Amino acid sequence: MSEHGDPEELLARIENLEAAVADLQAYGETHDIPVVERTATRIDGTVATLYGNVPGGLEE
Amino acid sequence: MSEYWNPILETSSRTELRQLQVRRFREQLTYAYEHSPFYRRKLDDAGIDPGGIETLADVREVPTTSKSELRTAQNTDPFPYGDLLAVEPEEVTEYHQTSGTTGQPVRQADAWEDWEWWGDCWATVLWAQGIRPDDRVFFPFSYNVFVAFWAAHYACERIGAEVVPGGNLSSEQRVRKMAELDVTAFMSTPTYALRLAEVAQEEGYEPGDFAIETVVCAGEPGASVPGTKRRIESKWDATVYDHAGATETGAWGFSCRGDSTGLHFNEAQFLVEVLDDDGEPVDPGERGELVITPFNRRAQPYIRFELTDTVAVAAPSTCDCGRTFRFAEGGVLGRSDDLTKINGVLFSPTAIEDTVRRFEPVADEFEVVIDHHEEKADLDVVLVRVERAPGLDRDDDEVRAELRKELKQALNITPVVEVEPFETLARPELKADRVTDNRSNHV
Repeated sequence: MSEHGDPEELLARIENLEAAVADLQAYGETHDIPVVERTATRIDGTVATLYGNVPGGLEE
Repeated sequence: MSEYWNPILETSSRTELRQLQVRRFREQLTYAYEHSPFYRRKLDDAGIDPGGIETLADVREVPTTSKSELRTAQNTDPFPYGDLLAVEPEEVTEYHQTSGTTGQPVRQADAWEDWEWWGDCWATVLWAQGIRPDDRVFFPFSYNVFVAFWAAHYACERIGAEVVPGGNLSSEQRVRKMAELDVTAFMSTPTYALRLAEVAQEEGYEPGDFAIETVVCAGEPGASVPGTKRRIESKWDATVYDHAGATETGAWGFSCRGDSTGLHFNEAQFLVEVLDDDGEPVDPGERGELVITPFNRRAQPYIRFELTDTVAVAAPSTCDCGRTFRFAEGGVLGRSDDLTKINGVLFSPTAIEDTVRRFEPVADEFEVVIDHHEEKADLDVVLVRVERAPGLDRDDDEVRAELRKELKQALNITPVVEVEPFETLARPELKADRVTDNRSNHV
């Protein structure tokens, strides 16, 4: 682990965030609440940029 | 797909909304008291305990905030926002300012979450007006220090609509881009929506043939002035919607797809008070001045800001869209600064605009000059200068007499009307200042 922490641990946190956002998106869609579904989509884009900043984050 | 951006808040019962508003007002007041030296001083001087606000009657005990107070406060440290600022300066992410038409511009600091809030308020507006992810929205204005349309741009992103930025282009280049890309909506002042239609025709297009379905207007009251709204809709073969907001408050009002002409107050994000001269709320159907408190503001909060706009408040049931938000019939009826007396009669420039725009023999632009009578010092004279509509096959004298009669009926004042050839008057490209008052010492 470097002074910047463990990339695997960081990745896991981002994945948790991604799962929470996907859940929010689905909730907004199911209950037809555009502000929830669309804002979650916006956050999803931000989370994707975090993936791009972690080694291995863009791998399938 | 829901007609409402936020169906939970936009259709809440009036009781729930009132409770929400009092709670959010109390939270905003407490935040301002704890973080803004300006508000701590102001509320201490008035003996207000922010935590003690429990009813709308308690809210009215809190002093209002005027624009002149903001200007004074911004002359203090820290530069450039003064002690209005309620966050550390490094937390400010957006700078904007008012246009300064009534004096020194007010600088507006927004932190990141404020800017997110701006976008969300505008998304409420645009969703109500039918903007959806499959829209391609053109912004034909030059982005600068004024907040107008910036937040609308980001609201389109939130909605998922495609944004086409049209700044730093000539009007001719803009209409060509709108045609080339088949844009489905655009946003502008009412003045510029009419001007773009004129330019499109000059460029050989028929604006009604564009793919435009929606025109969202802001910055001037025209989209709620029936004559102007009808004229824009007819030229673009599109539906025109109105929005009302201010740099200090945010986007507080919007028209919707319901069967009504006017503005809903976004009562989930703002406490909108419509007050009489004694500071008491007006009854439905009556006119009053707006005092607005935006909720959830961090960098530069405003408590009971005096907007000086006049509206006629109506019951929520006035509109059939299903929103429970109260409604301003006919939108913003004028700014108290714009109202003046002519020969003892209260005069509103909006009434002239409506009459001229309803009158088909004249073109879109007009000018109004108010002056003292040359021979009778105690009398005022109103000159309305208009242009012949292109291709009009009627005599100037006939047009002049007919318009004079229409204006007399609308204003209770008999104006002088001058009919000029088409394209004689200036063509404003953003907001228009069409009234010149040359009188001295008038009330």
